[in-house]
Amino acid sequence: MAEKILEMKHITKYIFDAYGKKIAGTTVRILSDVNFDLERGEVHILVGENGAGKSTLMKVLGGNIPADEGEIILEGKPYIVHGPREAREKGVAFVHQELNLCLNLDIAHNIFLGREPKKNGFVDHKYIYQKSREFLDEFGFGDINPHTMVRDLSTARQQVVEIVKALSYDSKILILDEPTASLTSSEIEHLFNLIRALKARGVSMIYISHRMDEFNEIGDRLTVLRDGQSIDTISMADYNYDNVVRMMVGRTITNMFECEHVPGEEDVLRVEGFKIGPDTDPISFHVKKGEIVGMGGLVGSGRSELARGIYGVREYYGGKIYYKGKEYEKPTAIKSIEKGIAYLSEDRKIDGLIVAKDIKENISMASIRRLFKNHIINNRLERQEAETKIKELNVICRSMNQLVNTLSGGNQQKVLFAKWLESSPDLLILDEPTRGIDVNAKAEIYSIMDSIAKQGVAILMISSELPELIGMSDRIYVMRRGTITLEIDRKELMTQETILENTL
Amino acid sequence: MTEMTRAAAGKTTMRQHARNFAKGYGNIIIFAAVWVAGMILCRGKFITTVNMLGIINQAAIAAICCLGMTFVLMTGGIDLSVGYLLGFCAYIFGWSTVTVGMPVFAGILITLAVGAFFGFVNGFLVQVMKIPAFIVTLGTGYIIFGIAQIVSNGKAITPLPANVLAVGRTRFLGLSSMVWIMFVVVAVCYFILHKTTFGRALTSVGLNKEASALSGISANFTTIMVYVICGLTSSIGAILMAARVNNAVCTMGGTEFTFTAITAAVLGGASLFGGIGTAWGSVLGVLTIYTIQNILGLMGVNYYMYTAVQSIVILIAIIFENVKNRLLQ
Repeated sequence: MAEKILEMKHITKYIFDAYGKKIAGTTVRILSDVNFDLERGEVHILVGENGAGKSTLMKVLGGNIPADEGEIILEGKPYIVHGPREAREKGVAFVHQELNLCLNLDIAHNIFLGREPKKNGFVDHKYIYQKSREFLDEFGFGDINPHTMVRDLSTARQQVVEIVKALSYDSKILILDEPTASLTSSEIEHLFNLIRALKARGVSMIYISHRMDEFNEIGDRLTVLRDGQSIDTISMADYNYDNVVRMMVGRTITNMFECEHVPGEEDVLRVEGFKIGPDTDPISFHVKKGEIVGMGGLVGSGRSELARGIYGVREYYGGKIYYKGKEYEKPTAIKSIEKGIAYLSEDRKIDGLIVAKDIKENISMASIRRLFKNHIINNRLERQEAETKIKELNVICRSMNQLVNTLSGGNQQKVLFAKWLESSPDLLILDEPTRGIDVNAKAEIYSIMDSIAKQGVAILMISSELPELIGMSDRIYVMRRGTITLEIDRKELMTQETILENTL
Repeated sequence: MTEMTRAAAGKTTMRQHARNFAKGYGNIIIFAAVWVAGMILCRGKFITTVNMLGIINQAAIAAICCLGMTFVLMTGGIDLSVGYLLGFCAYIFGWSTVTVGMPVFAGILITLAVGAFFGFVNGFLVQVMKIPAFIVTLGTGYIIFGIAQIVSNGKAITPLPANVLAVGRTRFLGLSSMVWIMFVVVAVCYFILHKTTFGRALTSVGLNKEASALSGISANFTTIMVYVICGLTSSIGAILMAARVNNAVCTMGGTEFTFTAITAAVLGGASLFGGIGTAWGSVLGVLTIYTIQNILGLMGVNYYMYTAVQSIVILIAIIFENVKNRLLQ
């Protein structure tokens, strides 16, 4: 058995704040007792659904956030780092999915960013170019000029620069987070050649990807994460597609999704030939009265873009929207709210709620035009409305004057629902309605959704959580690369395997 | 959620009350501290009716302009052109009523229109052209000052019409007409800021543009409007200042005045990052600054030391606010 270069043992991470610190009093775990190891010179593939904990685990390793429990051993010694810089110095380099290069600098200065060599107290530019040239040659990129501005490089070349930069630290471990996501097939081939070359040099790599077809080509071993737990680690010799998918999916909790609503007949929303980008394929779909329609797909498959286009806060490139039988032209947020379309955005803290305001003002926020017709705030009316919604949705709070950022994630999400239900919608577009909230709050949100649908509201639910998608939806559409690739209209055909196959 | 957490969520301790007070009313704490300092440093001279009324009379014009500034700060912007606009508007007022000989009422309308126009230009450049407010208003401020100097040839217009001076000199209950006008402006601003959907919209835009946009709140209208309001309050301040000193000259106001308006708003609790601020707080902030000046005067501090001492005190107050907010987070 090969030498183990890295061992991560019993890693546990609770939900954390912007500084990576555990949120006080929480019991929600992102990672729960995860074990992971890496041998010298191997490519270890890490797979899991969105939110399974892959990125969090790698952020712990990369020094971006500390683990709450567990230990990491690098080459037999305990590995304790307080930031990405320290991690890099110890030989762990992280190539992020979104590249972190300064576009306004050239390749050489990006490679030496933050550790510019000095000569007589001044930056030694000559050495930087010389050394960069050597690095690039060493990894077989003699054709790249270190003087080129990063701005002028293709995405694939930028990635090469990022990898060369990572290796220039004399890294022993390289973390590659979805490196092929935005590459063409010939670029991918190049990348794989580079990976093989690095492997031969004894560099160990952790490779995160959704693309199952890549695994056999470069992987040595594979670990599956699900719901923050390491499910199994297998050698690629034992790799079997169905088996891995089954491990990723796991078992479904069914009783959470008990629904009473019955979909109606008439279409509330019908979209025809809608294009979210200039080069994407057109999308057509519809949502009926009292129906919950799920929209599955990977992050980045264009689901939010579709929702925002319909709601009127994002441009689209052709196609028609019909709302309640009439064409809805040139949508804007104001018009949508007036017509009864509500959009609960994906990230409640960024564009869903104003977390520095109190609950009551957040609840009335999208409805100020309807509630206060003469433009004067009626405090009594506002309080009454807030009180009703707080009771209806069971928001746990001291008072309606409490600031939203002092509430738990689940209660914030309920306030977000309250805000949009206050606008009395006929079409509710939900973007990841249960992201980052605990199981109890999830169950509550599901029952809220069911009761809204029962009142005849059409619901379009974007979700990356397959159990939720299958459990709540009457019909499911699956999106891939900006367009709908699959429609499932019968409950018994909704399996995680079918959906997953069409997203990857 | 369990009963226990419910109970914990429902409990407000004394300490929390104290924290909430310190958080929401830091401006009162600072104001009180300045008063205590005044009483200690100036003994009996500080707390006299004449002195108190003097402070209020002096603060009135700055308070009006500071209210306009508060609107801008609430959207996360800043207006550095206020002082220059005030000088230009003062000149326009003198020019229209004296040089041209228009009726005072028409002169007031023209002055307000000029203030609103430059406010609109600021707002347009900030919101539609997406240029940072800091740069826009610094630029327009100098442009306005330049125009004012060219138009006025550097000359002052005096005396102003007798009826203007008469209004300026009128006192009621010991308070000058300026203070009563200030009360009206405060009341109007308070109403707009805290009782209308427009006021609600501007705090929303100031705190979170993205969430506001999704909720159908137009940042364009609110942002342009706040600069117009700020221009209007500057022109009101200009008319009153001209009337008070019986002189209309474009060098009135200036950067120092802008500085006073901004620091007063911040002392009053407005956030430079937007979203937070109150009408009464800004008035309190102006009173704090004028009380500091008053104390310095009573202590017989060299006039040339005023700006330095005042700036230091204000800096300390702002640091206090900042540290406090961070500690209470």
